[in-house]
Amino acid sequence: MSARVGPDVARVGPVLEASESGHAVAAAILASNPGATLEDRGAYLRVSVADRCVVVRRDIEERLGRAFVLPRDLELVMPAFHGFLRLRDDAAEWRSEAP
Amino acid sequence: MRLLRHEWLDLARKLDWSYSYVQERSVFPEAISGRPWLEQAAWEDWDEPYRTSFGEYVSAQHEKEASIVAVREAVGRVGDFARHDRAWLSALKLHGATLPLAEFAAVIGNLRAARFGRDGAWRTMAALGALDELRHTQIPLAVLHDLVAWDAQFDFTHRLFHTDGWVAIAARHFADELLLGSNPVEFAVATNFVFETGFTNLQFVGLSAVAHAVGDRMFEKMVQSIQTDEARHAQIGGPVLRKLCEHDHAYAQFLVDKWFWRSFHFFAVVTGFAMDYLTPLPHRKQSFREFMDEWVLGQFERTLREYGLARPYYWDEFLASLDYYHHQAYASAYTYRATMWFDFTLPGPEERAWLAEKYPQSWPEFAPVWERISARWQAAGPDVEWFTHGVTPIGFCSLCQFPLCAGTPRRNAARVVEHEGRRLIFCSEPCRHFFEQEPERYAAHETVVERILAGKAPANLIALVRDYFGLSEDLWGKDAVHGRYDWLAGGAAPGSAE
Amino acid sequence: MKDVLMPLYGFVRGDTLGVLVLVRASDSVGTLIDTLEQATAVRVAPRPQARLFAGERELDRASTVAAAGLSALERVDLVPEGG
Repeated sequence: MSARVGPDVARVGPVLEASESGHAVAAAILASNPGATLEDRGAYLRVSVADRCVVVRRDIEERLGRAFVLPRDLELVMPAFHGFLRLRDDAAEWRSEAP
Repeated sequence: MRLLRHEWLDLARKLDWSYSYVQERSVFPEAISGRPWLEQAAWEDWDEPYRTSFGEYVSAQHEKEASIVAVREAVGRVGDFARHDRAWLSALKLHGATLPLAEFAAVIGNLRAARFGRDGAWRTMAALGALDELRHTQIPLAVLHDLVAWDAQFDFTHRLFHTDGWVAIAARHFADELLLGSNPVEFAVATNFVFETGFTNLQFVGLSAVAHAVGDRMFEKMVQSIQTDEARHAQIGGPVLRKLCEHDHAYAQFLVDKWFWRSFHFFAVVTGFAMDYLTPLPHRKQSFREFMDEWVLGQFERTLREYGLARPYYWDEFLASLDYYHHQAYASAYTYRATMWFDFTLPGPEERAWLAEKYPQSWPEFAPVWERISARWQAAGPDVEWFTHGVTPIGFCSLCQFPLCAGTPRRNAARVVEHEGRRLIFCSEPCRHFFEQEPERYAAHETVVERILAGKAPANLIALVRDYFGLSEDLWGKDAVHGRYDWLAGGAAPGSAE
Repeated sequence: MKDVLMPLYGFVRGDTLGVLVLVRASDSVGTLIDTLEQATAVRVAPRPQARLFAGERELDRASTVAAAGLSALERVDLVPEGG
């Protein structure tokens, strides 16, 4: 799959509940994905990155100061997302191309 | 010795086996499992990303329920709802009546996939999906129907689907086919992929931002919590669609085209009314059109492209209707408000200025309609509901069963078609097209007009509303303030009554 | 021929939906126009000299509904003079 650039590039990432955990996930993504943007819509946060968005569990846990179990704890705060989701025990990833 | 999660997970959620004393085709008959019928080996690589076990599901759902209960105890009482604007309460009545019992039908669709879906992981996620949909029925019924003691119109949270009102007929026509009458393959594409991935985000996440602005924390929490379930079980859709594209590309395209169109009409009414008319102006952030852009348009197009599918053939007509359809429907519904179970608000000068800014292309065609209705309120004075209410029966589409509101005020898109000696009318070209693709599915259904002409329903509007739609005068929709708008009392509204 | 009641789908330019009107086969097209205007008056102000069409075909005001060739559940369009 070639890298996509230009105006047609898909922005992917989670839509998060505006809760403590949701903010922690958003902050972890913003810190580790260059070009990541955050839109605060009051009830929800839309985080998006061009083409590929990754968040590592440990980064979320450091911000929260407690365990964050995947996929369970992400599901609790993620009512929607853009892109194709991949979940592992230690990270979550959203990609623009289908698996 | 304790097994690690990845060592036991697939045994718990993706279990398939070879049949020794029965044919696979008997275990999964095509008539109920769906087409294309493929050997099990063809489904082996099927998977979805959440990969959740039942134990993990119960633990997550427990947490979700606990947080809903906490919010309800804090801000979900009658007193909390009584503070809201009456127009917003109408948005809640519309949501409460059209969605929870449709979700109950989705339990059945999920259970069918939990038995007849072709892969173990698919069946597991569909079983969890069925449990999800029970929750999506029961939570809003508990929260919203409880308000019936304070406001009788909330009774329709339970009652709508059990009536023969025109909204109920249209909603059942849609939900029955989508959720009850589809096999697991069609269900996965229609419900999981198109409806839950595209459109429910509008009503359950987009509208949660509106609820936040309104200060309705209960609704905000309820719909977002519901959508965290949907985001998970909707993941069935993509992998099924991918298989379908590999083996029957044309059928995949047909299902996507049909269900995108049908879902759009449903949500244009339910979500379009709420966002562009029933949300008090100071709390509006984005228009329905802008929410469609944010949640559906780019994402849907990109996803179709990833699967090698084209945009639906009616795409230009669809894009044009984003500026018209729900405005046509709302103005029509306002002047037939007694046929529904919630109150309507008349957009005043400030609301119209906002709508003109958000819909610069189409609003000039709607402004005269609202000027006319306003002038009639002025001529009659407050409380004279009938002077701004239609009395003539209206036409309904032979496919979607909604009023004939497609096209524009300048050119309504309805068309009459002969079908086996019967004259049918469709609100739009795609509604005609999808009827003609599967006439055996739809032909036996009668529109409200056909029921009236057959003598099954009364032609007189008051009799129709009272005796057939099940709405008594205390329940039927009225103007939210009975025409007492400050801006109307000042006289000099633009336009005149005659 | 019996003077049957005929249901027609009526669309008035400027309106937001289609209505179902009942006319008699012996009624004039002018009466049908009045019926359509009254049925939609709540949303669209009646306009003098409006013209009625069945498809591309303009119907003569003085003609009867039957003589104009209309049949049950046909679509008619009411358009103000000048479009």
